Amino acid sequence: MEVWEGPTDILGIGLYHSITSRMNEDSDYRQFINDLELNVVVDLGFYPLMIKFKKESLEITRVIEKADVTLKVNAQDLFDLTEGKSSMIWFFLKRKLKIKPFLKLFKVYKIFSKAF
Amino acid sequence: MLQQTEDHDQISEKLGKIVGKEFISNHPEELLIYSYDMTEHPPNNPDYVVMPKNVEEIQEILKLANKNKIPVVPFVTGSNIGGLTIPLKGGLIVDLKRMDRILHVNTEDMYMVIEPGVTFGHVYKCFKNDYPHFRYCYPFAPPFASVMANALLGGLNNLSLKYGCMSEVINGIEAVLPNGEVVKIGTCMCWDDQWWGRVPMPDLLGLFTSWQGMTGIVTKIALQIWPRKPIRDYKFIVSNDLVATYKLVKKLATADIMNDILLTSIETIKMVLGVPLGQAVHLEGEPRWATILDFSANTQKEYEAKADIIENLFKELKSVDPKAAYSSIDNAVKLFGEKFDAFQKMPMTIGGMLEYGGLTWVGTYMTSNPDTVVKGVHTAFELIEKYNFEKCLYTRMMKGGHYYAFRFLLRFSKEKDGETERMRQLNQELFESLFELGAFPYKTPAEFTDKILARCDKNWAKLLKTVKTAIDPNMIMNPGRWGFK
Repeated sequence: MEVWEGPTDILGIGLYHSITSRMNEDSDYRQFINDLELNVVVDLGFYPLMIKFKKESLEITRVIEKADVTLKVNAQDLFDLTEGKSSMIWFFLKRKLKIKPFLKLFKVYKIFSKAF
Repeated sequence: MLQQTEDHDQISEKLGKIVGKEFISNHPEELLIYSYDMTEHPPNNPDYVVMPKNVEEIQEILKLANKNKIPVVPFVTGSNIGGLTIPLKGGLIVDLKRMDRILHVNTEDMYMVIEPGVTFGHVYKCFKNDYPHFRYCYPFAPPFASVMANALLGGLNNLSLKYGCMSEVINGIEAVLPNGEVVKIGTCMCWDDQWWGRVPMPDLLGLFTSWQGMTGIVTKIALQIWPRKPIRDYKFIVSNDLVATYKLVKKLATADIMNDILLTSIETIKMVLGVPLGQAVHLEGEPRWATILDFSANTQKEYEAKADIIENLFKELKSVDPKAAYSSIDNAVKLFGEKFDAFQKMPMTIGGMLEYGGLTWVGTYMTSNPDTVVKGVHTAFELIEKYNFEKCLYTRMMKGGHYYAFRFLLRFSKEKDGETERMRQLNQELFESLFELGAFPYKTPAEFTDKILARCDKNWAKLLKTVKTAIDPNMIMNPGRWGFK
């Protein structure tokens, strides 16, 4: 029987798969994620999720703790983003993607632009 | 148990002479395999299993069984999810796997003639390799499921929105009656090589469809095939508002532009993605429903026109369900992983569904009236919650919206104490509640038929009995079903 890893909520499953599958394909990205220590709250308009990047491990949970950075984008925009209909930068400029604090923009971009 | 006039050894010897000794067994370990299926229905051992290779062998088997009043159950893979091949009265399992030839594909009149053991995997491979411009259609089932059984039992496939349940695409059959006679139905009754239809002669196909093998063993079947359009696409929608989502589904169905429309609960998506048993539940805040749209086109212009209609109808949904989101299914595969491909690459083995030993449903066809469908969902959800199982709703619009396939894919562990019995109780209650709403169970399990017979038109039941008695006076064919003890 296959062992299930990761969250069991539908958005968490999507985020977890997007990041881990990219890690499997791209060694530079894997190294980057493995080196991260960051708590990111992602809000897709349904419910917030916390992604905990803890050196060498990744956890996605619905339990929200103190976040280093918060990312807000609605599910439709996320679909459009992953489908390649638009880019993170364009969304950010159009305020469809909100990142707080702004200073973390580059790091968030690096995590999600490759995953998506 | 056998009510034989000859003893076991004699029967065994005669069956061995018919099919060859290596293709008959009464070893307990082999009988056990045929005694149960994935469902909660109680197991029962057959007395023998035989594996004939051709029509003549089937004729001889049935003559022998008829003479000795031995129950006979036709079998291919037993994946019908209705307990339909569990030999309720013991007897002979006639396993048809060895008869697995695709006999003919006619691209002019567009049909294929196949034997009972042909699986969806065989058909998929055949069309992919040899007839790439044509297609059959596939159920949400593994590749080893029998194409003939699916059609004879009125199953639903991924072109059912256009053509209805699969018994509606049968052009003709050849069957062996309980007395060993071979009968042909459809144009093949006049011309051995012509299987293009069942009209305009009196149509006797209904003597074999949804009869669950109670009237004979079908040995050949002609099924319609269709041209494969060069462009095909799938869309995926998540939403929260059931009424508005169903409205979208109905409008798309009646617009006559889609191949297939599935409306599922989010639990079904989780199950397909492999979320472990017991954890495929809806969590607060999650989108509630998922809709999969399948459409195709001959030209880019036609594709764009269809995509445009879909997007406009999605906007209507979005106006009342602001969180609804829409994507290509390839994008969903990118996000959720390859398992999501199960929705566009049928047939496919869906691990999350089959790996716990137990899978069942009350699968029904019902009116496509929105009020009834929505009421059905709420009624069933309450019951499933009461019994603490996962609410894996899987529904499909049928035949342009003329009716609706309404079912739950209920997985359970046969190893957990009491879980099988709990599932049995749930299914009984689900059946009773949905039947009250006008939903009729397809691949109807034996446990439900007494209630149906009690409610139905008495002359229908009388005619059913008259027909059965005329064809199978010794009641040897799959006894214990539809009131025939």
